[in-house]
Amino acid sequence: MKRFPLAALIAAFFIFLLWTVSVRQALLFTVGIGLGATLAGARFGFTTGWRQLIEDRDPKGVTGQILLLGLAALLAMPLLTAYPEVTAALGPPSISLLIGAFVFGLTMQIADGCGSGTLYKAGLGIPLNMGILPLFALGSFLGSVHLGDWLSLGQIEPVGLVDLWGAEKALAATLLGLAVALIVVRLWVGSGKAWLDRKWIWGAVVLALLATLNLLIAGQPWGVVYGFGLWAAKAAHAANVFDPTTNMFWSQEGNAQILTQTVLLDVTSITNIGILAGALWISASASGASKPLTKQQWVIGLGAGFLLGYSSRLAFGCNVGAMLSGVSTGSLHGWIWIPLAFAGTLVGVRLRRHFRF
Amino acid sequence: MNARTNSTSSPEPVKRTAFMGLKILFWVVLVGFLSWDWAVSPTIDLRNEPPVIAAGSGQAPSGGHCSMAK
Repeated sequence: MKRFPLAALIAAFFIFLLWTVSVRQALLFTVGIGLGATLAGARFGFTTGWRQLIEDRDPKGVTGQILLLGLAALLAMPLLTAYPEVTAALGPPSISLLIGAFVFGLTMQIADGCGSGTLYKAGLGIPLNMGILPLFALGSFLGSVHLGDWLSLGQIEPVGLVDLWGAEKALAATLLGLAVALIVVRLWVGSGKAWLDRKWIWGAVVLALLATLNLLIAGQPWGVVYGFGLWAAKAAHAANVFDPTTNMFWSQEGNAQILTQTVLLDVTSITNIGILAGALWISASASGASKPLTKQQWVIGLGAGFLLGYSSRLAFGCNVGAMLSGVSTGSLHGWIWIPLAFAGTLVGVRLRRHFRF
Repeated sequence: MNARTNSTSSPEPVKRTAFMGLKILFWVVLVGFLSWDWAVSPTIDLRNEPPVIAAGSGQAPSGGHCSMAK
């Protein structure tokens, strides 16, 4: 589809939200469009960046991600203390986090996309990611349904560095941690490799700004996975195959209320829709072509997509909700998530090669 | 034997038209889901709209997030 009719459709949906839902949701839709256009336009792939570091010793993607985390933390942490109603992405350190992050890191290499990656690639029209999206939603929903059982294996209360130390110390600790990560990356790749290129720099800067806008408008950090699970939960509830009142997660007051209202009122769902729209807009001038897959690769890819959704719920977020939002708002669970997901990715890239993706 | 093995396990590229069909199906399903959800959900109380900007509003955010355990 050409860009002009697409822009008109997107504008019409924006006006619909403004008129019939709320100004906040219309603004968040716009933020989502910006996120989707940036992710797709810069091809800011968390999954690809990690893979390039492991396979090619190319640090540009990971350096771009570290820059994104640093900028986002620099913007978000002072806001958390300035506005008490703004919340951090605090997930509980738990057994489920360890397992979930590892499986997520593994499967994202096979599915060739994390939470945001699956969204923007589906928006670009890449067949496997379009096929994965509903399975990701189903996995995310089932993960939330089973979350109570997983948490019973062991957990501690969420740890927020800003609450613990204040914004200045938490920011200093976060930037120090990111600097250490950068040094480790540099030692791994050796000298003579370019740190960054323009694509990763402008992607990181724009994403950090948009993530901060999301935090200001929604009062909570950018997330992806909750919206997916909500969509599948609504479908399951409507089909009478799921009773939320008997479930630990969905019977909680906030979740139970969100389940009864339209997804257009949910902040995560609306940015997800915006990301799809932004990527679709980019696809009007960029090719969404990809290598054709065999039947076996389709089956494995779709299965990985399901696990991606399930594990992201266990891990209290994906690269966005746990890594970016977790680390930039000072959640300890984000720092636990990264090494576990990276360990999973080390296995995932080998499996990816094995199945010739 | 090799030839036979290759013929059964060789890649079967999905045609470009099928990709276009998948793309159309994807958007039809998404728009269909959102339309169905809008139709079956309670009418939004516009007089009880959330604050445009949560920061500084004094109201706790009402949205779900993937980092939440509850």
